[in-house]
Amino acid sequence: MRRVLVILLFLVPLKSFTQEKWSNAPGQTLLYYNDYNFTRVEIRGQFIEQDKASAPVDGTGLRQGEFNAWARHCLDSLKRVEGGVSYQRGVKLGVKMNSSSDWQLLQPYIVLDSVGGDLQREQYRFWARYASRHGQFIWSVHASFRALHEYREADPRPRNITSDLVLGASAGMEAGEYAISLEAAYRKYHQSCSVQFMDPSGSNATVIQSLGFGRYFTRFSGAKKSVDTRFQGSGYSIQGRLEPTSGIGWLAGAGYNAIYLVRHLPEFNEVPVSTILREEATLYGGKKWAHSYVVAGLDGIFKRGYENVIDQSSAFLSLGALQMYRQYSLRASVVGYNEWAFKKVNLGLQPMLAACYTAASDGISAMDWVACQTGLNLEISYRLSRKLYIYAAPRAQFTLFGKSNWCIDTMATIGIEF
Amino acid sequence: MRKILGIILLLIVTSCVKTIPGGGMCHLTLQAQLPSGEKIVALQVDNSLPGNQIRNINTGETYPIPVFVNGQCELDVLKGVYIIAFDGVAALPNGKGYKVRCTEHATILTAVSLVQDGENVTLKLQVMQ
Repeated sequence: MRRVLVILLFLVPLKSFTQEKWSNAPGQTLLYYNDYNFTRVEIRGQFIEQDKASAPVDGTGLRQGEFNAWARHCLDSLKRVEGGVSYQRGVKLGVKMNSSSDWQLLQPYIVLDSVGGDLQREQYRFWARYASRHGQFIWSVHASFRALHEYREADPRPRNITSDLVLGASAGMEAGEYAISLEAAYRKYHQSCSVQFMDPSGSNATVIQSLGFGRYFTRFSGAKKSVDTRFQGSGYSIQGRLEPTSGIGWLAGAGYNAIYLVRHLPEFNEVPVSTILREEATLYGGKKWAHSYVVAGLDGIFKRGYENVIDQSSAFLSLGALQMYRQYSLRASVVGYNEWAFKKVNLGLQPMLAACYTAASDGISAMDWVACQTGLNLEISYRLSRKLYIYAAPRAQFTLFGKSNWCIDTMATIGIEF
Repeated sequence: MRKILGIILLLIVTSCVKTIPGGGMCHLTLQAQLPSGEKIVALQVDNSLPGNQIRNINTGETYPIPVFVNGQCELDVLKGVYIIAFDGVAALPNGKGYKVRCTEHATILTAVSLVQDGENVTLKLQVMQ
């Protein structure tokens, strides 16, 4: 059981987030898009299936529907504003050994149950950004808020409500064909996680306050009718960026972000029992052409976990914290993209290759592992009329982590543009 | 830049975590004491019995109790708050043996805090009839 817990908690799925960072460039990037105003409304369906879960805590699949609406407006040639809303509704299939949301952020200090099952989810997201240019000086502000609700309708019944706020600003200047900028952002995170059992004969599973490597708080775990946990914390990020103003040329960036999250137990006098500090450093570079790009990136993640020593009194006072958990991950990835544009159809192909080395220890046990991943994304968009378009993005990924694992991720969108 | 990031990180850590100084382990010295004050030559505990243990009340780690030689034993435990409870057999210099019980720190409310790098705990034993 202990070994299974260890393995389940440390399988981290590989994702090429170099590409995410490039495509989700916030702030002043707005200034370098086409200068036309639009409003888009989209309905999207997403289907993810794996042959076996690379991370059982995240489930074996996802069936999700999504509604997106966003608008971009050029106030004048020097000012742009953009804002949007999205609503996702879906179900995560076969989630095991996890009752918390956003496990990548909290791992290994998550709440888990020994039964698992499908997890319903709905997420709301609101975001806005504004960018302006004054001569060579450019600046921007952005904000986003995410509210996530995950729950299960059979015992054990987690009900997790997450709020996640990000506020940021950037400043920079244009030099020739390039823009250099520095961005800083603040993040506030809160999650309340409540696991309940409705069975009149009592709970059918043990709810565990995990510490990683199969260790857990025995004092605060057990088979109870209800277990409440609260995660809260905040984080900071700083990022430097070089990008071509014409959209064609070299691009590069470096970033650092840190977030700490404290786990509180409301039923035990709100005692803080553990803290996880997650730091991430990113370096990427590449080149963009009119219809293609190549980006290579290096990401390092460093996690530190602190376990509080809770005293013997019924006031549950903390005597101090022990630094126990440490995890280092180094990930290298290369992503390429090429687009072919026809009369009404656009075709995009995106191969990806990534490798990740991770080492973890809690002062008592230690382990390390290597995982490799390759994937191919295909994007097809078809414009039905001047305003109506459809878009499909099937993606296949293959992961090698001791055993092989394949994943199919398909997304289909229908949208209308005003 | 490294210096600025280092200062930010230090501020984050120090503002949210009050760490216990030193490493994660505590070197524990247990001293057994009979009510009569007689010297104990050896004290043996049967660790296979479920109640005989040193157990962390928060994380549940258990440690077997070593043999007490001249009334004393030493072991390394993870820093924390511990229940110490056992039944054992104490041998005296005159060859006599007593069945003894240690219950002074046998419940969560009477558990002992072991958060320094080195700790000494005196256990007052009860003699069983």
